[in-house]
Amino acid sequence: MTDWQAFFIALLQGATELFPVSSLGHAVVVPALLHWAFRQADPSFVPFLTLLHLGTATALVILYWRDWLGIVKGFVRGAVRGRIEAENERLAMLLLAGTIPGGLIGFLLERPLKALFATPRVAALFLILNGAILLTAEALRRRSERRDLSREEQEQQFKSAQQITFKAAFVTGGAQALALLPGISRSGVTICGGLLAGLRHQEAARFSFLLATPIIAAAGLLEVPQLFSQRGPLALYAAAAVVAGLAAYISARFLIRYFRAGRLDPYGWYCAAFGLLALILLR
Amino acid sequence: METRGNPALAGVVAALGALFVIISALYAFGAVSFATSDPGAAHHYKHALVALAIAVACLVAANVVRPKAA
Repeated sequence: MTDWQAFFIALLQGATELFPVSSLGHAVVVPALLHWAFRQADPSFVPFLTLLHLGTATALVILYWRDWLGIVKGFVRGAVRGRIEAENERLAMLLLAGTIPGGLIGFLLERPLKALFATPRVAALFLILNGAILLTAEALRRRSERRDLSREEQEQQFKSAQQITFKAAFVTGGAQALALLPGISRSGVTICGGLLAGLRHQEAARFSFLLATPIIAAAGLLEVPQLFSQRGPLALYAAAAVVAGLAAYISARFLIRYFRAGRLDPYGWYCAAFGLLALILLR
Repeated sequence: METRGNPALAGVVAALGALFVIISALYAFGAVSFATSDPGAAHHYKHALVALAIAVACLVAANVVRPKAA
């Protein structure tokens, strides 16, 4: 892998991790389309991907540092007391309810699923499916919107992240397991879950990013020992992690602003079109 | 804010937590190697840590959903 390829992959990873378009799907399909002679599933890539994940997680923690401060305090208070008495305690426990199924299924199925499906053509197929999921979720959402209101007013009819039910948080968190399939977007399925649970688009995105942070950070932190056990250009990897972090930060800020009135449709159509194009080109 | 408890759910989640404590120990001592990259290794600390984190999360959740005395 050359320096430019490393920075390109970092940019791709950082940007697509939070956009509802599947970072894993792009990481599998794009190098194949460019005829790059490396596979990200290769064990020598672990330190590189670890640092990229840590870069992305750091960007999310910086972006939501106030929320995280409240969530950590709320988690400790709620866990010790065994009772939820404040909004930040409820949000902390909602994130816990969402993280348990995602972590559990990921723990059991990550390796077998990635080994089975991490091929470019299969990833392209799942990208098309991801597009269909996003478009279907938006179509279902439109049914529950009042048509006589402006987009901003329509959004105000829906809930904030703290108001989601525990069952919905659990199901939304569990849906993250679908993202183990390369081409299915973690943020995509969690935003769809949030929308179907009655959240505003912006709040669904915020809940999705908060839900993603512990899992992305844990995935990175758990691989940290590999950084020291395998030889590789660590300075280059660290620089790439900064690029991934910056891309993730800018992406998250863009998406939060976009979802004030924007919808998932453009990303749905993009995934369907890109997946179809990749299938044709990878024949 | 929320005072209702769910004893059945609390029991299930607590049992899941206890199960993952055991799974964590089994991974740590190398007695289990399911879904690991190196099944021949003597210890699987990474999987043990993940299982322990899931166990703690389940036990916290069980504490929150258990019925409380008024």
